[in-house]
Amino acid sequence: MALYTIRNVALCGIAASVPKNTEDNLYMELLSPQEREMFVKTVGIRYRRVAPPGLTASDLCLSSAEKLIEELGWEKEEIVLLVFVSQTPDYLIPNTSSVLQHKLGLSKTCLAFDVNLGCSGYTYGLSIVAAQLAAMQHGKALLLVGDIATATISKEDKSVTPLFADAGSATAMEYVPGAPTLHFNLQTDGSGYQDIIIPDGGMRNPFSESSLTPVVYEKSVVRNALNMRLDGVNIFNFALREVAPNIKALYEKYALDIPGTDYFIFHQANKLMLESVRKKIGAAAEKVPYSLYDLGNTSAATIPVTIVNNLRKELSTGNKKLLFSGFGVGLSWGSVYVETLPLCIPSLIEV
Amino acid sequence: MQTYTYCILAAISPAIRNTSFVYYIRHIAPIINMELQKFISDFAACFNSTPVESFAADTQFKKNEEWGSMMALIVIAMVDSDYNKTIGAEDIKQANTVQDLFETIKKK
Repeated sequence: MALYTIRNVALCGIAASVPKNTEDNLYMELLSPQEREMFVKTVGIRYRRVAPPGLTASDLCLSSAEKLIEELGWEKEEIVLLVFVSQTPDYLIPNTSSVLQHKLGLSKTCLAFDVNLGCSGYTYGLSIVAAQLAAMQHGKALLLVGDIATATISKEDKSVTPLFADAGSATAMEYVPGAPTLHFNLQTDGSGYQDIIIPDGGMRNPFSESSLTPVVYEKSVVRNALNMRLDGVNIFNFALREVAPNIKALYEKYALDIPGTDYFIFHQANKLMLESVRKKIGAAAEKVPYSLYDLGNTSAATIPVTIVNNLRKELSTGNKKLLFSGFGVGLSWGSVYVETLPLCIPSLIEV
Repeated sequence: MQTYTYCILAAISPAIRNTSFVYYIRHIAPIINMELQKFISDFAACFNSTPVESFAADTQFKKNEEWGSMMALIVIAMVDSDYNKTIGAEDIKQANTVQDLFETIKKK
């Protein structure tokens, strides 16, 4: 089982950026007025920040990183590691992390690479960066997590369009002997790889003329093979089945305390789903913040976005015990328990 | 022959009589019926603007104006939390009435 701890790595700060451009699900033409109200009430998403053409996930991560470095007062040459977690890179080749290393003006001694993960990406990213820093035994690192999922979605597909929004984030981590231990439980079930997929454009089904053919699956569900497809019921059942046991296993293994945890920060997928998970693990309602009403499902970035949007004051002023849980595309899921000292959290950046 | 034997035994033994068809009608069937009634009311509670009383075992729920993909998720979440069972898209597709769905869940 991928249950483990990493010591001597501290979480220092978190920043998040969203596009200014806002869409309102209560005015979405794809849905009937009754469906709109029901969607907002049940799924919990009203407003979505949508990147205009030309604005990428790396741009949103870049502005987050610049602001965070400035507010932390870090010297750029101290940054030894940059990890970019995204499923919407700037290019298929090269890796976007190199573009970011260059644009941020980081040293050539900085190690940089991309990680292709979505909803679970923040939990995996924390693990990757912490493990790397622990191995290096020195230095500062940036975990840049962001997506512009809206760029992959058919605007005529009501099964996905009202869900997704765009955001980018930066998380600062540092090797600090004696820092609170990070606890992880990361999992995978590739049997569900088709539950969230862009079928064409990779090497399995290379781009062809037919990739662009719109297919009508039902009324207001029209997309081509380059658009993201999501099997809502399968993903919903996956989350109901896997997320709570994953968190409970982490708490049992390391004798952690559910009532003693200050906040449970879930991947912002669907309010109905998250409330079910919350009840299964026995977390109090006031300990589970939601950013999805205002900012939607921003894929890999939802956890840092929720921290910045909902918990900025609380986490920047006191020590906290936090649980992060991300789950989705892959299927891939994981939870991280961490005790934080006061964090540097700039207010939400609009680009 | 079996029925004949059973009648004789039932006549002489109250214990055997208690496992009889009469016992089933008096004691077992109401429990099953109660389960179904509870499911109908749990199912009805998922709906927002349809009165609970308008749901019965033979209600064809997909004809309800409120029914749609959101309602399906609400019902899946209810079945998961109240019955500890998982139903998928195919289960919902196959069921026409509330009782059909109840029977599907019972078999899981």
